[in-house]
Amino acid sequence: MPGVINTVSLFIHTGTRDKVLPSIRDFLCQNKLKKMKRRDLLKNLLLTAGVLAADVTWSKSLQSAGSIKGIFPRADDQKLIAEIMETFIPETATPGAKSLKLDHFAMRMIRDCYVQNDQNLFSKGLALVDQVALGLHNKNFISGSKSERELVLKNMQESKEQMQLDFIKIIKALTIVGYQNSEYVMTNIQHYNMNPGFFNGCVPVSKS
Amino acid sequence: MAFLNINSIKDRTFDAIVVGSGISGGWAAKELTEGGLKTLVLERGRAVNHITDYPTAFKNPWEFDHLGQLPNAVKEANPIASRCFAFAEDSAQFFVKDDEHPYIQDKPFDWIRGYQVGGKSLTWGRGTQRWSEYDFDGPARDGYAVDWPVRYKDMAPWYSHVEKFVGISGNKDGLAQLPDGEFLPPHEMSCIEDHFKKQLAINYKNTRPMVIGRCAHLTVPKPIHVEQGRAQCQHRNLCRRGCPYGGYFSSNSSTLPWAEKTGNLTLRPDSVVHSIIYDDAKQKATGVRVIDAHTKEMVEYFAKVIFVNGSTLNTNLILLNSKSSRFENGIGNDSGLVGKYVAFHNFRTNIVAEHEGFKDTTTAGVRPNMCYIPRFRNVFKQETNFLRGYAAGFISSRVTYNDETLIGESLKDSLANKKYGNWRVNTGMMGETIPKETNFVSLDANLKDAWGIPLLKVSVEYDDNDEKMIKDFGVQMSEMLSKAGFKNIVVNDLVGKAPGLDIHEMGGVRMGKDEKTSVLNKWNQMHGCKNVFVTDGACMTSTSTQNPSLTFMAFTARAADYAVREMKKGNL
Repeated sequence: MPGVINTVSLFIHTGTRDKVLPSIRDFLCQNKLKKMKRRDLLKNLLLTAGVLAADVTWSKSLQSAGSIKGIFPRADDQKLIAEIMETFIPETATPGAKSLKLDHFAMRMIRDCYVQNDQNLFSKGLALVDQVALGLHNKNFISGSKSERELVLKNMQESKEQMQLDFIKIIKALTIVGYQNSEYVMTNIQHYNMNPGFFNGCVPVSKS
Repeated sequence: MAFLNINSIKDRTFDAIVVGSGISGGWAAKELTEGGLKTLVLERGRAVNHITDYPTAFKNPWEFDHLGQLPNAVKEANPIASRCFAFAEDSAQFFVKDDEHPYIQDKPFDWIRGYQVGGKSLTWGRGTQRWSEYDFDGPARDGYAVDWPVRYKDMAPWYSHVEKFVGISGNKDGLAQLPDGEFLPPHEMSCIEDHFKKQLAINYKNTRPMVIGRCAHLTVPKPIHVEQGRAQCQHRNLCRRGCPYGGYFSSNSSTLPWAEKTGNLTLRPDSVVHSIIYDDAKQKATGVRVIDAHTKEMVEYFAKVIFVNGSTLNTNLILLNSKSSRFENGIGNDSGLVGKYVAFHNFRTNIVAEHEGFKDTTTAGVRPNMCYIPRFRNVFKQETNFLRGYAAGFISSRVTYNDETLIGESLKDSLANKKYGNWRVNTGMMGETIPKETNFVSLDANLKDAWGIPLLKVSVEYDDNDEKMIKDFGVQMSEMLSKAGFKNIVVNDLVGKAPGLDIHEMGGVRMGKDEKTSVLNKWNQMHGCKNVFVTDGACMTSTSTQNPSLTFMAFTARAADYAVREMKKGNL
């Protein structure tokens, strides 16, 4: 509409009245309200329409994510993401990242909620994982043993290269947030109760 | 809902028309229908039925595709709505999207709207603090705006009337500057909030009290609430999704179904009010012109009395657009004041701080409420270099964390065992802004919306008084926190935060004693057109610092009672 001025501010709400779902208060979505190119905006709008129409959870499949060129360009990107996340949170007596399909969640978040700059950063960082693995063990990440994989991620986490640090920060945050907010963890470990029905202002930590 | 035959004038004629179904329109509907008036409520947005139209109310966190966050595409398409704290994946359905309803920001102003039955009463903050006599005295004492034509004693019985029906949780604190109301049991303060409250009492000799917020939640319902079909608040704090229990007050859960039970209500959603019809011969308003939101067809509805409750700025828009040979500049606008003296609440600064004590304690359950520090500056006399003052909201939580540096099974174990950090508090200012002629809204001469209605142009900004108040809040609250042992006090002046995000915009159609300097009389009745009443935020002469909805509801109930009595006397 000509003549209508929408002043874009960089303010992100930090008000006192409310919080988004409390379990994601430390969530790492790099939302900087950066200007998005019109082409990308349209592409994302189309994708969003599809996602919003389908009432999916991240335990269900995410068919289109792998095909988005530019964010996840390689055919086996999703498999690599799943294995990295599984290395952070492995299957034990309780489900790990792969069983909980956290790769679907992570890819959806990167596709829909990350600005282009951070999407690029993620793709470039993902491509470094095999480089680091080859340097350390002379084989790519997926071919490594559990302890070799852990060592790759530890090296990247402690790297002096900003791109490696940023990548690990994003994928680890998505792993932790996805895990902590998964149906399994919220139901069986945190005992999430949507309707607590009470508030006690001051209770001993031991009883909380 | 009554069947509408738009071909028949008789079927389009009612005793009363209420424009808007939000928090004040719902009250007008309730009171007018209870008074025996056949009432048509017009809502520009879609129907939202209590319970059945709250699609996210029972969704678990993991059932949202993006854990509550909105995708970038939605944010990019809606930069204005996205700056509102409550516009999220679970609540976006109750917010106006930017491109559907454009307006012109002559100066940056984020206008947050909810176009649906119930309006913003579905997503409001639910704070319900009464004004005091010091608030109604303010303009006369300090020489700004105009004198209110009412005082606290006029309003007190109507506050009680509204509070009993709405259900307000609160503590009787006995404060002159924040009068007690008809309260359901209060929420508890946390240990750290209680500590701060006690420290304030000692350090400031009871001149800076903190109380638990008074809020529209049914902590323990009374029979009147059960009769409305509402149940006890479940402490979900998922209010903005719509509450299937009716645990907080909304038009949808309370006033509208109540009005419907009288048999006197006709509710018509998707009805965009274009203007009020004025009849020169009768020297009265005779009805309203409505544009169907979908077919864009214009239909006229008629009534003896019209309540305008379209939300502050839209009410201004409708009045300015209601032009006739008698009122060339908009209905009731002989003074030329309609649209002027718009004000808001200054929410620009918040402060976070931590306390290292009380380490063995935390909270349990969820509280859909905050603590409230009523205005302590310039309450009883002028004492600073700025006019008026600010209230503050205050919340606390115990920081929890996990060791997230780990990898593998040790990380998984760590995530199952959260550790407790310091108590953290967050307090935000709610400052009174001074209504000024230079803060105004007007109609654009050329641009129109999809319904052929002129676009509203908003020219509202902060002034020097606001800047001084912002500084004072930072200094005073930091001192108050510091004296109570808080550390890491960080003052965030959110300089880019435009007016509007407070969602407390008020004025433009102010009440007053003199028809030359105000638009409405002490009954919210237009000086120039006695059968038109304005009882939403547009009527406000000044803003004070309290959350305003309770006062809008009290004005509405009082005005509706007056209108019913006047109609029965044949005066309208």
